[in-house]
Amino acid sequence: MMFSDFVYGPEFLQATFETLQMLSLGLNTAFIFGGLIGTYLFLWRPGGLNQNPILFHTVGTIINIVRSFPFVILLISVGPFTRLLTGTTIGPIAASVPLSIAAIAYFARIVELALNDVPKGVIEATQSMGASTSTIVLDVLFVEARSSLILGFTAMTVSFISYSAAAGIVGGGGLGDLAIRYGYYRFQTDVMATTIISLIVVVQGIQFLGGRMAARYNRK
Amino acid sequence: MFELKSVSKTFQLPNKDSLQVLQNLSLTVNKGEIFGLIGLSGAGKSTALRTFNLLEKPDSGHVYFQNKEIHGGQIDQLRLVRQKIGMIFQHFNLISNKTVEENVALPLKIAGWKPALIQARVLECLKLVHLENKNHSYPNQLSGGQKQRVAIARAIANHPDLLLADEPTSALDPITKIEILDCLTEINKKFGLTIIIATHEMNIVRRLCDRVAILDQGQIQEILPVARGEIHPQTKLGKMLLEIT
Ligand SMILES: Nc1ncnc2c1ncn2[C@@H]1O[C@H](COP(=O)(O)OP(=O)(O)OP(=O)(O)O)[C@@H](O)[C@H]1O
Ligand SMILES: [Mg+2]
Repeated sequence: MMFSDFVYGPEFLQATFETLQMLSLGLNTAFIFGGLIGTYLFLWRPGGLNQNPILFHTVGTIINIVRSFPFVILLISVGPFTRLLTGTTIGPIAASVPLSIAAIAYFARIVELALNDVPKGVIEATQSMGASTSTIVLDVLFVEARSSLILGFTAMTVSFISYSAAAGIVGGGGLGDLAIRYGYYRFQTDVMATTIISLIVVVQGIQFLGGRMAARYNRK
Repeated sequence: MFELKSVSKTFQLPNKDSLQVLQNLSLTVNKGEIFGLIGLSGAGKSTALRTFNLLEKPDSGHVYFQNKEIHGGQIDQLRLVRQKIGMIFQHFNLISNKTVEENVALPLKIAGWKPALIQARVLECLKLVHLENKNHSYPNQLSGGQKQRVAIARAIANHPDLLLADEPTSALDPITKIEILDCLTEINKKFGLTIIIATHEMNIVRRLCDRVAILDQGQIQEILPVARGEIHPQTKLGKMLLEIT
């Protein structure tokens, strides 16, 4: 296969699409569930707005366990759960399951830390206005923490591009899988190079956009 | 009337020790007066002040807001009461990602004002603190004195019955300090708003207060009237504070 055939070829497009599919499934799930769990961790922490030591430590421990798994091991060990959910363990949809699990744990911590960084005085001032906990969270904490949340989400997206490549190797498809199959097993260095360059471009782009957005929303 | 009755508060310290910060403290503040709480660092001024809106929940004792007892356990009642108690802080505590206007609008939103009425009230409050042209600025574009005036506008927006001020001028230069104190006096005169202010400085008490309580180790040493800027403390601590500040 010629270099140019490959670049515009259906296989490359297909692989790109699969990577995006894995990423968007994983990141969206993380955004919702990780965001929710991270917010509750913040509320449950000792001295928090809604403190609950038991839930705080239980959920915190689960997150630490997930986060201490090397990704490839997590990928394999949640196989049965993946099959239960998607009916298969191969393909980008199946690969999104372990990706989502890892991303939820990752983003939960990011959200918890970002909310923790909001000055206590600002929370107190809002409490002193008679605000409910949900108003404090939605109208003040998320507003004050949004730059760090955006930067955290950006960092996560970048990490998960490489995780998704790893998922590809174990049957997930996507650009990582392509690079291995052509670039590594068939010694087509140009395929490897194209894949890597595309990934670099994507990562740079995401980092740039994330940084710009975070700066735009930061008035501190 | 606003009242603390036999309030005690002990903090548990990380090293397992405990620290009694308020000891059986009773205090009545009358409607319309400016009441000072003075004492050295760690005397319990902030803790006493924060007990009036139950930001600090006492271990024992009673808290009354306009002669009605308020309870930490009754969240809905507490929230309604807090909506009628404004508070300002040493470090302003504005929301940095909201404009001046949005900051002042927040307590109104919380109190359930109709969106159509909020804008007018916000501008009215900003006018009161002479900041009507800063409504679209962000707090980081303002000086310390301007920030505190935004905080005052925010604290009085929902027509509170009580304003709590915790060292509101300690982060400001001497001239700005006077500006803020005069702003508070003006609001007190204009609306008869009751103000309780915690401070280290007799200067501030003399300029602002109608009465003052001298606090030491969580207990009231004496309560004194301030008549035309004059105070005559009887206790050693009171005399010392008068002499040096
Ligand atoms: N949340 C808390 N946990 C533990 N100790 C506390 C807490 N809040 C206050 N304290 C302690 O209680 C004592 C009284 O604190 P408080 O803030 O009421 O004093 P203050 O008179 O306002 O002092 P300052 O002039 O320094 O503001 C201090 O020794 C302080 O360290
Ligand atoms: Mg204090």
